[in-house]
Amino acid sequence: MRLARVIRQRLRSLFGRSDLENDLQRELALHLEQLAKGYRSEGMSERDANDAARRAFGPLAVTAEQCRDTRHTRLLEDTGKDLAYAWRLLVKSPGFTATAVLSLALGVGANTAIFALVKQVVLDLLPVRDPNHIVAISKTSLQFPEATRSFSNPFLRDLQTSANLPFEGFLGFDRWDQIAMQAESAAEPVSIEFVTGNYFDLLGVHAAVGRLFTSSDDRIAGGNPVVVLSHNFWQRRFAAEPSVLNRTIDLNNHPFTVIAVSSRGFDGLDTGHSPDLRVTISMAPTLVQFPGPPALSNRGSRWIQVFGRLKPRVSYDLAAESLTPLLLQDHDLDPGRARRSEYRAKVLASERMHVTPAAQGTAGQRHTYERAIWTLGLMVAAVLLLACVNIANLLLARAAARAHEFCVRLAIGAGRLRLVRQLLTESLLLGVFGGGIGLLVAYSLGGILISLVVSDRVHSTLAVAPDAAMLAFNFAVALTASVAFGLAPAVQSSRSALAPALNAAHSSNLRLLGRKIMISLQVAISLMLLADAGLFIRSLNNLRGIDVGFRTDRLLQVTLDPSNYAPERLPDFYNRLVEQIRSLPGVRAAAFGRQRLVSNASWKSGIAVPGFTPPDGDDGPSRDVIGSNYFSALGIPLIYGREFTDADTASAPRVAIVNQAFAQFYFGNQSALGMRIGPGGGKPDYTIVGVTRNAKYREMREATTRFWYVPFAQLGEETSSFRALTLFVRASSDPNSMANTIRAAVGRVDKSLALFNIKTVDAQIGDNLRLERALATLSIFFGMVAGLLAGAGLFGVVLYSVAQRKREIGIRIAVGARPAQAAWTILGNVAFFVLVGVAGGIVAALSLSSLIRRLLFGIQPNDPLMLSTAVLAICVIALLAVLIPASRAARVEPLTTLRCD
Amino acid sequence: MSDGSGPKTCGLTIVDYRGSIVDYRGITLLAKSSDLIQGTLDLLILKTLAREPMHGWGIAKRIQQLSDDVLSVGQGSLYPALYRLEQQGWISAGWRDSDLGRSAKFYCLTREGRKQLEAELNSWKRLSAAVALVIQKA
Repeated sequence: MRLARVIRQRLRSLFGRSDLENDLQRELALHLEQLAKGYRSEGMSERDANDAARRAFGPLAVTAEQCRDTRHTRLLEDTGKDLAYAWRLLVKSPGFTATAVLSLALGVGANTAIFALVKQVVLDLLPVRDPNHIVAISKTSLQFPEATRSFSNPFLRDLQTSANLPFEGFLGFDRWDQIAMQAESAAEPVSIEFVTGNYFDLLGVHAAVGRLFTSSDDRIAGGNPVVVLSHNFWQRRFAAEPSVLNRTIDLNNHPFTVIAVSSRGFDGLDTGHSPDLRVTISMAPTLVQFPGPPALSNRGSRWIQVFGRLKPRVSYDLAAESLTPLLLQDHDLDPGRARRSEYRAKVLASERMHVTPAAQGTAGQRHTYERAIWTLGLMVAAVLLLACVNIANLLLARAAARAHEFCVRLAIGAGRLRLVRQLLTESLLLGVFGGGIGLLVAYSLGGILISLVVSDRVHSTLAVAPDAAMLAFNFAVALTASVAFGLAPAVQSSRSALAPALNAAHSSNLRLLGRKIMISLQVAISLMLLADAGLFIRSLNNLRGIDVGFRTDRLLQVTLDPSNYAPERLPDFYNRLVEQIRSLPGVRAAAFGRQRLVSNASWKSGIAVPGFTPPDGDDGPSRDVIGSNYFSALGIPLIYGREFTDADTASAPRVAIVNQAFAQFYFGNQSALGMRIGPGGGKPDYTIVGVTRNAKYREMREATTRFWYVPFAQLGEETSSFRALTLFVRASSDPNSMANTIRAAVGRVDKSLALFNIKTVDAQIGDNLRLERALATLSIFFGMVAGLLAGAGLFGVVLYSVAQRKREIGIRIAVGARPAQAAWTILGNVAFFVLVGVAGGIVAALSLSSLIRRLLFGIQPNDPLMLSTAVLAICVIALLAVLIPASRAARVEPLTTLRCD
Repeated sequence: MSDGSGPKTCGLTIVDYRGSIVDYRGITLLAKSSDLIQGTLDLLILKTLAREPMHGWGIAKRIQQLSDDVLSVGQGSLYPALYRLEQQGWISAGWRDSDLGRSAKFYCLTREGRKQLEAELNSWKRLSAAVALVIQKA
């Protein structure tokens, strides 16, 4: 009961203030009246009675104040008044408010955008049950000291069926992007993930619709054509209709039934990529061709990533050791055991299993983006610091103008803390507005960031979704920043002495020391950012300038997968298709091969060169199968010999073409023409008929690679494994308009064929350089913003300094200084701090060079040319910034200044 | 009063190191010596209101009368005390027509206020007994 009463009192104190005030006044007035009545009854006159009553009562205002104090709402009322006052002040000076709020919004928003990325790439855990128990299984060996993560299906089954392991279960998955989904009349490419039957169950993922895979779905090879859609795909492609359940979808011309849709927000263990469909591993051979023996029972075919769920409180080392017996068993059961070389035996003996925590899924996305994101994070933090310093300068200038107001308040009894509280309230109000607009900036900047960095937006899991963490971070940063830039001006203002007139005369050099130090800081930070921008731009140019070894202009590459063609018909089919394409108007040249160019694809199968023993641990050359006129279509020059022609059929003598690096490595100075080679472990019955110039095959930054080519028709019994090939088309005009023509031409040959990834090589290279381009773009942007902020800060300080020291300049000119010398009195001082800033910036740039070294290509972080360019840029900015104030100083009229003071 | 002797000696009250006054059982009677005045005023107000609801002027007059003009409560302490007691929920207030010719703010004791009055009376009795004891024996 008492609590209710107390609460009611508190609420009345907050909301019924005017009523309470009236009550108080009436009550005290009544008391006074009674006192006066008493005195009047003793015979005093009315006026005397009133005065006596007042004297008897005591200090009325103090009593009223004490009564108000008992209400304990002081803090709230004061804050409310402070906020109202701060709001009025901000509205009255729109220029200042706009500048401060916008620069704060930019700094805060940029930080929030980077934080959203950091959260998704580095911090977020998988949306599964107990993600901290999920681990990744990997293997290291002498030959591959960096962990290999792919295992064979038999080994996976061994793990799953083995008892007494400290694991609750194992799952496997593998992503496959070249699957055609036939729907209506056209075929479209989809991204598939092959998973084990217990995948969803072990992860604790539920179905949005239908029922998910169970272990029994994965038992029989090819026996259970069921598919689970991902939530994204269901929304995008089927508009989230529940009727999609039990519908039949054709994948590579095989019918599959949709049995479920996985829950929203689950994108799999492959970070950054959200597959469209999931199918059991047992159905993999139906959809995809694997080279060699049947994939599901082939211990040598390692294509599945294995993750496990560890039992609680098991150490990773213990878990890894528990898997060793299975590894050894795998070695023993390997059918190729007898043919093992000594080196291979050594490698196998050195193999070790590793169990690593994988609460965030695979580490691929994180490795790609982590360093870049941290670098960007530092940049935006620096920009925020600059913005705060600028706003602090602005506040200091304003506080100096309000010194009179503070003196009066201090004189009538306000405590310093009260003044500081009010000024901090003003800063916090700025912070709230800056934070609100910063949220908008974060949203748009985040969107720009992601579109700069991610090439496959459809399947990417990176998104800018405003969630609680982002909001909290945004406003926490905004409010911390506002306290940071508001504290110094607040403390300094509350220190206002009660005789401001005295201060004008004493040297103002010391008073501006704080601001000048901040100038140095701003110059140092801007120098670092500009130097980094220069480095990233040079690095990008270096990458763009790499000679890939073939002509990239107007070259399209298209992947096809004619899955329902018999292997013998394939060479014919492709030849016919290429002829069709070559006859299209607008096509200058066309050819086909297996590997896409500069798309991170590589294929090795060892090499047999009679009379040559490769050194231990040598990986062998990369290879490809191609059609006729491949090199002329791609613009790779042939140095010796000839191209493949249509005459190189399956019945003709087997031929091969190698590149210079291959010839050099295996044959030295001898001519490679006429030499015989063959795939590893096979017969060397391919005769070399041509040698080409070296090129970049897999990616632009690779070292020189040995390469050999074989005609597709002469691939032999492996033809069945290589159905999907890539078509290369060089257009004579705009390649993007060729896409539809090509699709139509392929449709004329076979309607059920899906075309994957129709992309120009230029676009592919652009995609490969996405991250570098993003870094260059963003660092230029932030560098310019930093330069602008530093320039504005410098401008403000010098302007203020000139205004403060007008009298002194006037005197100097009066006693004979030339205008330039007068200007130099101000600038000399500031120039010193700018130079200190430049020195500091150089030191900082050099010490942080190790951070960005790995992001650069072809240029060192402490490149002297870049640093000097950045220094020059800063000096130019500084000069521009001080131009106006300096000319103002030079033009000071001594008479006017001395008179009006 | 700073005897400094142990708790059970002759049932004397002890002033501990903070200057607060406790009895031999260790129950704190007064936290600070300045609280003496505030606590007494609260007691007087509560006791006055125990008889009948009254306005501020009436309370001051009544205390003065009953103490034979010895205790004259200053307005500067009466009204803050009334407001404090109201905030704490011991008394409640309402505007009513009064005998003064205009409406006045009447205070009356709440149920919790009556219990608080009992507690304060008990503390006061113990305190005054202890003081009397010391004066007798000193």
